Amino acid sequence: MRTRRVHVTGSDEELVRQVHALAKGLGCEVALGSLPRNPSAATELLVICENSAQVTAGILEEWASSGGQLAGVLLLVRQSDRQQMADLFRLRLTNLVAHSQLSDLDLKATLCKLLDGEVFGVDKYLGTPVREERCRLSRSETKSQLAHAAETFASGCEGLNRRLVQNFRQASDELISNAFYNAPVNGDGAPRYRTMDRHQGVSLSPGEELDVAFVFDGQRLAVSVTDPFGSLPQDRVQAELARCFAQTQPRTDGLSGGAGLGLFFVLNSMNHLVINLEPGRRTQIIGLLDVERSYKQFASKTKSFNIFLQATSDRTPARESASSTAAEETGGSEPRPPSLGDR
Amino acid sequence: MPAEPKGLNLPTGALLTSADSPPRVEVREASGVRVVMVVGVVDERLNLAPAFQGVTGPVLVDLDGVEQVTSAGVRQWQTGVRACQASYLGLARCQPAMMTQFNSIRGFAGPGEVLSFYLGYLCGACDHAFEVLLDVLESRTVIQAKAPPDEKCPRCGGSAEFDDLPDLYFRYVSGAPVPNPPAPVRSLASRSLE
Repeated sequence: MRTRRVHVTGSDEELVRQVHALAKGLGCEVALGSLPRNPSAATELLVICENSAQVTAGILEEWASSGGQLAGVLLLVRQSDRQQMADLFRLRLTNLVAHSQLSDLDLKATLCKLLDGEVFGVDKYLGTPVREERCRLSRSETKSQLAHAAETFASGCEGLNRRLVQNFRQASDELISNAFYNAPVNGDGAPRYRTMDRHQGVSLSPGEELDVAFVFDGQRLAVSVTDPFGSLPQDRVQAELARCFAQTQPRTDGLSGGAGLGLFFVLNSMNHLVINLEPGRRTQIIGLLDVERSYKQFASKTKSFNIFLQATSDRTPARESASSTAAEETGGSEPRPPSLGDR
Repeated sequence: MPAEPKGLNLPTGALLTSADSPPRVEVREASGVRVVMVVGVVDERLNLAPAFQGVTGPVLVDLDGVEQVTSAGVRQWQTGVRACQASYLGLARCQPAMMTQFNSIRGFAGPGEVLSFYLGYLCGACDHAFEVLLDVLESRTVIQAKAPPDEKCPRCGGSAEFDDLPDLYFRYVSGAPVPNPPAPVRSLASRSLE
């Protein structure tokens, strides 16, 4: 197996040591210290460990100007305010993880995804599930039932603040809505339903169904929604999120149909947003919420996000053979339940 | 604990057996004021137009029953309040779900004025969560200082703390002009609307 080269830098020495140990454990060749002079030749992944996002913009700009790819940067920070989040999205950073609550599980999942390129799957972020519910959807009329089911699911997670139960419902509602109205595209890539009034129902054809999962491992809840279109443009996601975070109060009248405000709501409702993209084949969006008794505790935490891009395979587009591809590509780890959308 | 078999916890279709109802909008008249009560999740199904139809006098919207606001609900809400022709629009008993939107979406209140809103508390002794209603006109000092007082837990008598970030939670109300409701609206807003 090829040795992967990781460079770890930053002023948080404890975290540098943690990353170093984990990366070594994954069989990586690890370098420590200031930025390498020739980024693309020296390393596949740059991990920056800092207390605040404020100091990282300069490092990222230096890295990019010397030929480093921002897709190969993982930024671990303890604090990041709204403006800094906006700046990071604007710089097209794809991986920020708040390390005030960073576990080895999170870090290992992120490192593996960045190094191996196998990005799909919600299970990577969770321990052994205590509760898990999955279904496939083909009709948008079922969205509100699913949102209600999300609330019921979260209500059953012991120790979760009741406002966070609503947050979980909200994130689920937004993700399912986004998958029904923004994700579907025609063969030429043109959106099918993006401008459609949300009162109007949408029906997806066989092979186009959405996979929805709610998972709880005792400490964290996840909602995952996967569509077989892969139509969410990474640039637009980052631009919209940059815009939402840059404005103290985003306006809605300038936002056309699209994922912007919905994803902003999801990121605000959850601790961690993960977007897995395989262009033209599938998109998976995962919201992760830590169990907290106190809403204040949740609100004071820095948000984390990852946008992972998986190289598109040259096989048949997923939406033409969705029933077989997902199970194969996730190694059977995320079974696709039978379609429930036509009830 | 051994891993449970994935995807098999529920019988087929169980997720979709959940009952869900659209947001409810109820209208009544009191002391010459049209009182509009919104209950449930504010989403794409919210329609405020019938409640505001033909109104020219003051309106008081009771938001005690709002559980959540979705991004599609933001648009429905804004369309509704912007079209309202009331001589005065008051917004009372705003739940945290509404306060989040006032604080994060510019122009979310439209022409409306927030008259009262809930503060969420968490008891440090027994973890009981409860809410306290704050009257905007009577609590200017608390609002301007963004300093909600500690409260006693109604369940165990222990000390309970405001369970949100004051700077964020009070951002909209502390920056908005002091409300100026007509007397009948103020009278209605300061008591239980049910």
